[in-house]
Amino acid sequence: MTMPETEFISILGAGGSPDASGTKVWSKSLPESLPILGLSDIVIFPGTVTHLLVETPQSIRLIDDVVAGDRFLGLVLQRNPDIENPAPADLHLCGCAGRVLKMLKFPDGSVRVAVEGLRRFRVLSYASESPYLVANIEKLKDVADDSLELTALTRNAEREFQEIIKLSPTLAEQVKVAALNTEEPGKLADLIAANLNLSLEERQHLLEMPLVKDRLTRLLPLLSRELEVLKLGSKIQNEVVTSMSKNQRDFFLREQIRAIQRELGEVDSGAAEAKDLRDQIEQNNLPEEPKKVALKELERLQQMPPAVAEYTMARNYLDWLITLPWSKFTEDKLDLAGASRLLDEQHFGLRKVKDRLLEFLAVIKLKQQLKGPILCLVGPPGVGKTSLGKSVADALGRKFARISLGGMRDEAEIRGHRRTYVGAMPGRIIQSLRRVESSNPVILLDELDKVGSDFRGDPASALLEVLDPSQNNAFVDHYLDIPYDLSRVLFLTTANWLDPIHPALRDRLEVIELPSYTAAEKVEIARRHLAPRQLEEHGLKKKLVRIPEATLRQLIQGYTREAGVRQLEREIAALTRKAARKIVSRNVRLPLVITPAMLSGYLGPPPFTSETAERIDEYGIAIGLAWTPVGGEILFVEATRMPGKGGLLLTGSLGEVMKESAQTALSFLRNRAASLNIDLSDYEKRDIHVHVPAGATPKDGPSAGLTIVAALASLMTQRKVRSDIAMTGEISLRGRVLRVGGIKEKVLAAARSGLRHLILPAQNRNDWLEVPSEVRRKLKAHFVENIGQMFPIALLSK
Amino acid sequence: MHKISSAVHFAKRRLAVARDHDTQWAPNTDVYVSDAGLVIKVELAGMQRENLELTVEGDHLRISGQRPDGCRAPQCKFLAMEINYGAFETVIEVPEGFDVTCGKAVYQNGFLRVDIPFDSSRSRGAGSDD
Repeated sequence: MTMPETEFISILGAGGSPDASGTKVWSKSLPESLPILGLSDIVIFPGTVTHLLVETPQSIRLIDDVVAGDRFLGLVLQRNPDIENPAPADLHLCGCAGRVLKMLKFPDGSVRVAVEGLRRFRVLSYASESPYLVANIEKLKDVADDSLELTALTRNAEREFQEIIKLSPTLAEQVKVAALNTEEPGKLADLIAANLNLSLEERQHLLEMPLVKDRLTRLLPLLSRELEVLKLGSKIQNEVVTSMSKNQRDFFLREQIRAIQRELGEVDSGAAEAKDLRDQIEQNNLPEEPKKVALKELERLQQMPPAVAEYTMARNYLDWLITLPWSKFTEDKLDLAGASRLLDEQHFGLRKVKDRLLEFLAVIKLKQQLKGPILCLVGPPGVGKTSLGKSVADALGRKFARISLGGMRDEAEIRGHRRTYVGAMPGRIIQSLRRVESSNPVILLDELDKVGSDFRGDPASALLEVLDPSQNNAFVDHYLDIPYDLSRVLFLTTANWLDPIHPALRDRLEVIELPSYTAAEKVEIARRHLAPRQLEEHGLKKKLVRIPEATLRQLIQGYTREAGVRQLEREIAALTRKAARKIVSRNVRLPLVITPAMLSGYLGPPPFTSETAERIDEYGIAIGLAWTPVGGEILFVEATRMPGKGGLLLTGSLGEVMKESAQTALSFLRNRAASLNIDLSDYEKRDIHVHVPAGATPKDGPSAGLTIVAALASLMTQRKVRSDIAMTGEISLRGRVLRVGGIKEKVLAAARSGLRHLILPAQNRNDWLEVPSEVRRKLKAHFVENIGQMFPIALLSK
Repeated sequence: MHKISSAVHFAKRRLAVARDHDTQWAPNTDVYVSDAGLVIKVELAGMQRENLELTVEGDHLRISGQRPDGCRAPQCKFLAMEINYGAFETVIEVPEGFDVTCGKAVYQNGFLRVDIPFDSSRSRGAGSDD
């Protein structure tokens, strides 16, 4: 270096050389033609420095040449970002001239350049297209004036932009300084355009506007929009922050309370509760499995803050586990005589049931661990099935729970809901056990025949598990989810009839039939239980009113017609009400004795009479016996003949089986016409009509066969059927009389209706012996093996 | 506070006066205040005195010139490029309290240094507030 290290340079005063002639002008203006670099996804504005990544060979060549040359180039946005080497048609017309500030080549061949935007230009024409585009350009000057409008626009834009910078997280402080330092409206507009979050189209549009006023006018709405977006964003952000900090505050305060409690020596409530629960688990003597589950649940509970919704669920579950009587049993009273006495006291009759219960008791006495039988009491309403349950529990000294199954449709009622459901509960069985606090109560499942089932589930199927003595030692309720031993529970079920009960379920039951009460039994029940109870309920002392047995008998015969005693109890209640009124109005002598004669005065004329005996006064009528779930009934079969074509007409809501037995009856009679003295000469000219009142009640079953034969025979032979005789029996075409069911109910119905004679199939002789003897005494039973034996008994001679 | 706003003010002036010669580059520049006055230091390596011009226009100091790239071969391929050549210009507004007319410029070791003393006609503290 020959140059001196230090050189002094004179500073020229502007005043010294006012004309520019003295100063050298170094500046070199932009050339008239520029190499054009297509930009795929960015618009460069004058005054901004942008870093670009150049990858295509063509563009790299361009950059090489530019850097080696004067370093100016034109930057133009492509219309389609995906084109690698754009042709002139792919480029917008306006672009920004730039200077390459820095360039660096990477080993992978790509080139990184920093480009400073200098000024707008418009492409006039393309001078060459190879190896890269070179265009002749026209420089575009910012056109600005000094108008107030432009000043106002500038100030507005600047103010809004400053606001945006304040709110926006992406705009750096440098941009703010730059904006403050830019006074020239055109440059400010470019600065804003470059830094605002705008679409490419919008940016290109702004680049194409040399008129500063237009540019600002276009920018202002975009600025306000961006400002609104940012304000909204920051508002949302603030809300989130606020709610977050509220939660944190709550947590902090709660922790403080805990700390204070610790300071004061008070154990905090969560720990106290946990300790309490742990004690209870120990005290309640849980079996191994529930205990393990309970302790695990307790551990989970302790790790949970009490505010969580799941805490309550877990707590509830734990409560259930703890409070269930896992190993609590009541001691059975094994006093057979005492139990027998108690059962007799509370219920009259019902010998079979009582015997079965006493047997059960006796076995328990011999062997402690007896699986409870599942008894099913079947009988008409009002015979005391439900109240018997309570008596059984009393007699055994066990706790009693009653679950009514009537109309139950959801199996979850039996087996509980899974814990995942909101508001889940164990089923009724488990609930009852907790309520009675014993694992060997008497549970009465009432109305087993009225369990419903639909899409929600089938409770009867769930009952299969509950009621199976070999399975129910590990009954799993959905809620508890651990097996519970039900085998020591004595299940009693009741039903009016067995038909609707699921066969699999019926199979598990030990059925005990409770027949209708006889009149004598009813009198006893009324005397021992109903009358005293009603008197007490109406506030009448025993000394004040007396209802003699004769009155009760008259009440039963004249005012009730039922299998059970509910109607009777209502009538007695009516009677005591009237008596109470009389006594209160003080115009009677005490004690008030209600004689049979007084009944019609108290209750009106008796609605039922035993007039059946007189009702048959025509040919073609016979009395049959029917069985219904609510007890036996008598029914009439009417037959008549009329001119026609020899057809058989059957009416009275008869079922298929009953219709067929009517046809069988007719065929039999036609077959035996000669031996019965039946004239069949005009048979083809007459129709026969069989009707069974009441027409609205559906009837079915084969047991009316014998009655229909009697009615038809009476019609054809013109011999009346005896009015005091009723009959039942299935018939065969050969004339045999077959066994039927429900004899006991039917016999009782016949006795109630004041009939004297019965014709029964010979095969039913044993059933007859089951009928209470006082009823048997009232009726004469005739057993027949074939239809022929019936005629002399039933038909009167001409 | 004053200092910051002053700096911002300073920078603003500097940009604002940039003229329409938009093709020029601006060299890196330090401006600071020492005990002796304002110091302006411009990073300008490889310059000849005749290619450098300093002009005072009112309270502005214009530094302009042209840096040649003398040793470059006519055909070359750059692998990295970070040095600007050709015409450059920077205009610095000299804050109040300094006498720009008494400035001295020295080019040494690739740096151009301009010393501007305090304005003796004014109170000294105005510009050197710190």
